[in-house]
Formats: sequence, C-alpha cells, structure tokens
Amino acid sequence: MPSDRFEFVTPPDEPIIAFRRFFQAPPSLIFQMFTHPEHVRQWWGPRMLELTTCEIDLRMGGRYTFVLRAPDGQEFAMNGIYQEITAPHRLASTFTLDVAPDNEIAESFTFEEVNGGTLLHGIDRHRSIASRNQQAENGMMEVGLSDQYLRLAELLQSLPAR
Amino acid sequence: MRERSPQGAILGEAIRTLDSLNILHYHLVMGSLALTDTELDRTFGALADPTRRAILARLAKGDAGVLEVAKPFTMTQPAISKHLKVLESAGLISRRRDARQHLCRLEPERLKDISEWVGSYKHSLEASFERLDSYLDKLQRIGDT
Repeated sequence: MPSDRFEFVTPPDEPIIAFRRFFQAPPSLIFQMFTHPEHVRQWWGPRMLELTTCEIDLRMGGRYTFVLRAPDGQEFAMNGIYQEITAPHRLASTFTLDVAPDNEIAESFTFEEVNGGTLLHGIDRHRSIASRNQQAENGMMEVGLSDQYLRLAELLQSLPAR
Repeated sequence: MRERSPQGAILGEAIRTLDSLNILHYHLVMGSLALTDTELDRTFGALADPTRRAILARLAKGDAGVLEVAKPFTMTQPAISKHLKVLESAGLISRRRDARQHLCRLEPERLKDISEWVGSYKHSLEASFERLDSYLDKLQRIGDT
C-alpha cells in the first residue's frame, strides 16, 4: 500500500515541487473532488480559512477563481486556466495568486489507480528556482499543503460507504 | 510633501507585493496548524465530563500527583486514572514520572487551540448579529409607522 503521508521533493536544478499522497478512493471520485466547487469548498486550503469563492469553468482554457478568507477577515484571491482535462486521470492548469501576478505556476495532477485507491502525483512548476523555494519554505508544504490533503482524506472518510 | 520618485513607487509596490505574499503564506501555514477533526473529537469528548473538567481545574493551580488529583473524588484511583488517560490522549494534560509517582500537568496549548477554534467563528457570529440587528431595526420601523 503506498503511503498516505504527504511527501514532496524539490530538485536543486529544476524549479518544481513534486509531491504525492495516497487516498482510499478511486480516481473517479478524487477527480470530482478536484473539479466540482461543492466538493472543493469542503477541503481546499487551510482548515481555518474559508473558501468564500469557488468558481470552476471546467473546460480547456476555462478559468477557475478561488478566494480564501482568513480568520481576521482578509481575503486572498487566486485563479488559473485549465490546460489539460482528462477525467479521471489528469488535470493541469496555471495557478496565479492575485498578490503575486508575475509568479504564475504550472500545476499538474495525475490520479493513478493503485489498489482500488488513488496515488495523487502533483507537480508545481515555477518560473524560477527562487519562486519555487519561496513556496517550499517556511512550512508551506510540510504544514500547509500537507494539511490540505489531510482535509481531503478526512472528507473522503466521512462520505457514506460506497 | 515631497513627491515620491518612480523608483520609490516601484520599490513601494514591490514591498506591498512581498508583504501580501508573506501575509498569505503566514495564513496558509498558521491556518493549517489548527486542530484536525480527530483532535476536536478527542478534546471536546474529554471536556464533556464533569470529573475531567474538575481535574483540569485542579491542575490549572499546579502540577499534582495522581493521588492528590484523586483525593476530592469518591471514585477509585483506577477510575481516576482512566479519566487522566482520556485527558492525556486529548492533549489536555501530560503525565511524567518523578521518583515516587506520576505527576500530571495541564497542557495550556490545547486549550489555546480550542479557544482559537471557537474564535474562528467570531466573524460569522458578528455578521449574523449584524443581520439580526438590521432585522430588528426593520421591525422597529414597521412598529413605529
């Protein structure tokens, strides 16, 4: 059984973060969790922040817009354009924070079926090593992203038996 | 007031961008450190018992051995130990051995966590109180006319 721990690597010579995590749910369900706003709202982002806007235009060249609201009321918007949609195995898009419009990230997810579950492979490709390092530092991955996918796992666990 | 140089404006903009990004990163990390559902279940489960709340109140005054913790209660020491185990697995207390006995200590960090968890609803609470206020205002106006 692959690890349900969140693991990531940051190669020294390529501006990417590659991560993976196993989920006890088939790719078809995981793909829905990533692409339907009513599901995304339940797990995307840190648990103490609220995803107040979640708009998804799921087609090639379609845009998604997310807004996260922090407990102090501050809001952070982000958006991206879908570049590859191959349900239920692959999803790729750009990802841009409104506060850092120049640091566009190319994000791709592969949902690999393993033992009836899904091994999620994610790659965040930055424009520079510096921008990559900024995302990888200060607990953003170990705490932030790792917790987000723990939320997804908790949500999947709370679903009625299939 | 002196006009700002274009360089100054660019630098100001860069700093603002950096600040917002840092603030976002801060929220992304801190917002994730909060309690998981399992921890919430354990913590509120542990608090949902008068004996365990009394034990916490005792430990808030200072560390104490199991015998001392058990003293005010009529129940057996094994029963008290069971309660201590529940509090420990919820992260509300810790236990360590000294020469003679297990010393229990309150772990304020977990109480702080749940206080923050409750606090995270403050904004929605305030918003709904405002809605209630404006509704009451409306009622008042209807009553006045």
